[in-house]
Amino acid sequence: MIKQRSKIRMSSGITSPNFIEVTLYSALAFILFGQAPGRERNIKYASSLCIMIRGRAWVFGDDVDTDVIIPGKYLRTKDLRELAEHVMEGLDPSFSSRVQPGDLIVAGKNFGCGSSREQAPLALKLAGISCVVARSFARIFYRNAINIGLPLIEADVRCEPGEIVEVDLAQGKVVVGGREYTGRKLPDFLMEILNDGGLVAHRRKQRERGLV
Amino acid sequence: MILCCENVFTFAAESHWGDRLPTISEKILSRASGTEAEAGDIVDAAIDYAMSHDGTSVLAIKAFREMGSEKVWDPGRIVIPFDHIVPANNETAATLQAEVRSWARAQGIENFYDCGHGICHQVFCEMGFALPGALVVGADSHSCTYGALGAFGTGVGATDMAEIYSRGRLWFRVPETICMRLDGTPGDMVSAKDLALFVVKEMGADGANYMAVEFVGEAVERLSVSGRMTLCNMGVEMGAKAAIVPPDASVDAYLERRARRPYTHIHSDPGSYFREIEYDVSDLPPMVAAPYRVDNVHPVADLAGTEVDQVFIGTCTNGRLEDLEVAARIMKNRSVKVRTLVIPASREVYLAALRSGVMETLVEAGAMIGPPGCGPCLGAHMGVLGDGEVCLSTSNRNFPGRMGRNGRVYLASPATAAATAITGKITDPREL
Repeated sequence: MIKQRSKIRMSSGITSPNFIEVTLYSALAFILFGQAPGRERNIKYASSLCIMIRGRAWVFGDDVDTDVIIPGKYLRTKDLRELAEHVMEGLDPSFSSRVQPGDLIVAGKNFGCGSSREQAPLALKLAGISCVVARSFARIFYRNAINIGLPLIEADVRCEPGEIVEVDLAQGKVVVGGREYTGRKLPDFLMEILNDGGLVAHRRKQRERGLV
Repeated sequence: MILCCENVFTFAAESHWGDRLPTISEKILSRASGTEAEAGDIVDAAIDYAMSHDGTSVLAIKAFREMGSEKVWDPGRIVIPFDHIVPANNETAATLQAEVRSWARAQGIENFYDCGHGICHQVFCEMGFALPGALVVGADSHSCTYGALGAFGTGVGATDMAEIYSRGRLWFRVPETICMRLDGTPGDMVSAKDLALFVVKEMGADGANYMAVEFVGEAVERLSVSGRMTLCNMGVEMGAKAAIVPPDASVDAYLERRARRPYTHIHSDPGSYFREIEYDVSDLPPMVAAPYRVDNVHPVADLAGTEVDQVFIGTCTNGRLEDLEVAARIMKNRSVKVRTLVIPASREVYLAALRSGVMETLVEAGAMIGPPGCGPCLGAHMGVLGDGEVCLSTSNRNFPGRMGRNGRVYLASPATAAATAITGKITDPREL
């Protein structure tokens, strides 16, 4: 038999937690990103920004992996539009022909798990997806999406396919059919990257302004 | 070979954290960012070595140029092995590889390893870039493999890599650390891969998302560096940002003639973990992950008898010498019943297996040998599956479409793979 013993120790600031607190804290730990208990230690950024998004929802479940978002065999291409033609092929072969510019994706936990391929968020963006709302994201997908300028927000949202979803990235709010959900706000320095259209455009702008 | 006398990995001995003692990850990210970094902090950290391969380099170079960058921050700290599609299987792949090759030459990238050297993570470790206490980042999700040598190794995408090419720095959220203690001594034919699959099953596909995992305990200490690489490699399959085995004498022995720089061992302070989990793995059976989830793991007995069309032994998870040795031990004087593909993880592994007779045994048994590289693992090179075919593979992912549109992939250890190759059905290697 496999014996298991589990004990949990708190980070600083929380003492003598009861079981429920511990479980909650444990469950929330991976989504602390953006609302970190700590500080942005040596990161510099400008003011906070505002991005509003409104679109029709495509709904997917938990653990949508990068192989179903864009299979490995399509990665080597000189023409990036090819990525959009095969996006989400692993889950819904008709997705790429039915998705409309401005549509957004609502999904469960661990969206974008698997490989580091940046073609995954890129394929979604090139297909016209305006934002991904998910209960949680795999960390590399999260970084990649911001870097290529695909807005995303962590929020636990109840939504039917085709419903209109409104996302206020700056406030960290999502509204579906009159129901308002509080998501996780991006830290300001990531909002700034997203607002510039991704890390490449952000660095180029900084260069033009003589900041780097 | 020591290239530099600057001891960049030394960490000040005294603690700055007051009551809250730091983990390996916090110590490494503190040193690299020049801050007293605590879990939850976001820091801008200096990278010790960066890795990108033939796949991710293409977009990274594109982003690097579009950012307006001209020269890389330090050509001596960028490592580029070609492994994902080697040798190139079509004109597009060949052309993209030629572009990366010529960029690397123009930038003076010293550590460029062309087709044939092996899988990026294996080459990165063999060439001494993954070192205790180092912050090493790869444009590949399995860069968590480097934790086997006590490094903080983590994967990023292409644009983050372009940022590193340009600045040598990147932002990180300092992760909490889960300490996973694996006690006991597993039986014969139960390997690091079985431990890894068991851990992923227990944690789930996102059980460690955004956290670091430290593997400790008797069962981990007994693993060779090769086995630790297998265990850490699968860390990302439970979402971990880094998977680390505290370095010990076996790491020093592995690095003796490889380390690029002097290093010191970094360990977590007692009681510094966010969460501690303990398992006794003495009675762990060989494990298999069934399609289409890496955490869909069962004891081999539950899946025994499942017919397969192909067996694949290789990848950054299980293409090392000890993996091929155990396969050869099982396949000796036997013949494979289904097509069997063996791909050594590197030229070094290939040569060692040739010299020891392991390759001869595998070929005599009927296995095909591919050139060192990723092979069909990501579904883009030789050995992919036909419609509806089943493969038992020693790789790390079995997502839908991973090795071919309607292929079904089971993940297991090299021993289980070899036993399955002999019978044509999923087989417990202890029963052969």
